Amino acid sequence: MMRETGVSRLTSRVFFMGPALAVFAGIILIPISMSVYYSFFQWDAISAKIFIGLENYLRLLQDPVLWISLKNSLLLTLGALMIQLPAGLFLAIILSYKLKGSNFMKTIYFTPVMLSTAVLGILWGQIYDPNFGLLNSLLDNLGLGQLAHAWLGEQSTALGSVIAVVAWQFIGFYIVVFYAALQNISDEVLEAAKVEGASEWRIILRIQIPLIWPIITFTVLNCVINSLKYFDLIYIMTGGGPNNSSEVIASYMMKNAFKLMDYGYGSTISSFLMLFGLLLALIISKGLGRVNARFQ
Amino acid sequence: MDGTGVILKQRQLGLKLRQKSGSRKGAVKLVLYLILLIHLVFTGYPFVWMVISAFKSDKEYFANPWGLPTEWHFENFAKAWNQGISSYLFNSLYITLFSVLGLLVVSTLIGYYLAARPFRGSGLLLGMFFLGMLIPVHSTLIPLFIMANAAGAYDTFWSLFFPYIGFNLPVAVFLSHAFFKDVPKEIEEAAVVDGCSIYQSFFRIYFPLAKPVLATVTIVSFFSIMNDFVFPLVMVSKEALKTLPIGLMMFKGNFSASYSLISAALVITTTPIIVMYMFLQKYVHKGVVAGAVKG
Repeated sequence: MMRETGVSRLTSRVFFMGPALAVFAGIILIPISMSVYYSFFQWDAISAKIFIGLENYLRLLQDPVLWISLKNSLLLTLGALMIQLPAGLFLAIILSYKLKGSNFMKTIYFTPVMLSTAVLGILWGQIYDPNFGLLNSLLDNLGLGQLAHAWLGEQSTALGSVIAVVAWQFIGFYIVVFYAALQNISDEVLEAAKVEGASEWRIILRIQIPLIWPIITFTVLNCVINSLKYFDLIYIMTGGGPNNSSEVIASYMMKNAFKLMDYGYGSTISSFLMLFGLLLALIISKGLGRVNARFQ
Repeated sequence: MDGTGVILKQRQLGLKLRQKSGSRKGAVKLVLYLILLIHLVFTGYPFVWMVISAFKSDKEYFANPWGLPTEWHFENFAKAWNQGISSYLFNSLYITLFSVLGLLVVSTLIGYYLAARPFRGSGLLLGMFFLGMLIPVHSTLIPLFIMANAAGAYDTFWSLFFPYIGFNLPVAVFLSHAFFKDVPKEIEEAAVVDGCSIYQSFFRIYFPLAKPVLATVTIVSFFSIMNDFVFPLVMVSKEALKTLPIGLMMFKGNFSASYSLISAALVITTTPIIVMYMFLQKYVHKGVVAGAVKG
């Protein structure tokens, strides 16, 4: 094939790759390096930056709220992994038996995924409302009135209530992804297993799950990365409260930067968030890759 | 390998085995169906409740959270629509439309080039885009906010437009690159023999071929941009630029006492998305799966 050379190659490269590289550099690469750079300064965006070396990082290590946020972020991640993925897989397997109405149900299950977290946050805020909310009213009607809570206003229930909404929103996503993966398994393989007298459980555990393992690997990674970034619902539903009990790393970073105008420390937290996420992604992909290898 | 006769025999055997446990199968089916239904109610009822609440008066909202409204208050919708929701909706559509268009152009250009003219380092470039998927938006917000201020882009269209393209690029580049890589090389070779330049071969041949991937990228990015909460929160304070997610928060603050009015606003916000989703359901699922199963 004819290849461009010299100047014409240069212009075509700039034409085709320039816009994407410029946006990617300007929106992601440069800001990330600036974020790391700012993390070494004390800075409120009004007075001059003061270089303070690693002081922000020392502060980070001693900041009790950061540790609460980290713990909460991990709880959120764990909650997502333990609720959304298994429930998604379980329901996808049921749907793959093609019972009547399966397609309709799949459509409804996915609906919350398409909606903005602002809508869902406000809607669930109303459901959790201590005085007029559906949840407490439901508990009352069931004679479980003593279980009623000010769900988002109490330290013991705020984070859990948000985790439940995140699960409610995203189970549908995993249902659709796993369902598509299950459809890709050839019927002959399943048929052959049935003929050999394999039970449904055996088929699920020995054939279906191993065959879609690469997809599961990906969803675990996806789930962890997204949970660490989780911010919207926390901001909308609890604002990190009460008393920091539902603060996560991203919301704590936003609070420091844009509410307290502490851009230096905010940058330190966001650098920490990024490094922590990359590290976790690395560990997970290594670990799951090893299991992958065993399956193959 | 099996002959057809053997397969047929095995199928019959399998059928027999299945018939044997027929009644147990029926019970299992019923339980599975019940599970699906429970999850259906769990997922769907909040929306049903939202719609019902939107038609109530505030008094009835508080007094009777479960039942249907005794009087249907259609005026809640008109009121919510006129109190800002309409302008937030149009702002959202406007910024989303232009960002998606920009994203389509930028991502297909580079996706095509990396697929059709690979060079030393092009693999590295692709890898860099993939790494971009792991970067949390929050790690870039402070610098982007500072840069936007310095460039006079704070509170303008551009402070949303460029971040939306940037953060949706990784998936879009991946999808378009994967697509263009699978287009047979012979097509372009023929074009080059006929005297086509790389520009002509992109615009005349490859870009028109790329409709399926353009549709996928559009669907995946449309919803993520339309629903984004973080960038308008940080980059915009002007009423004239507020998008739906932020606008809804404002609306909720302004009418915090009127739960039924807020419900009406939620219904108005949700309806266009749900209608679109119902029509494009098959493509949305396909697009999301393609976007999700990147590697």
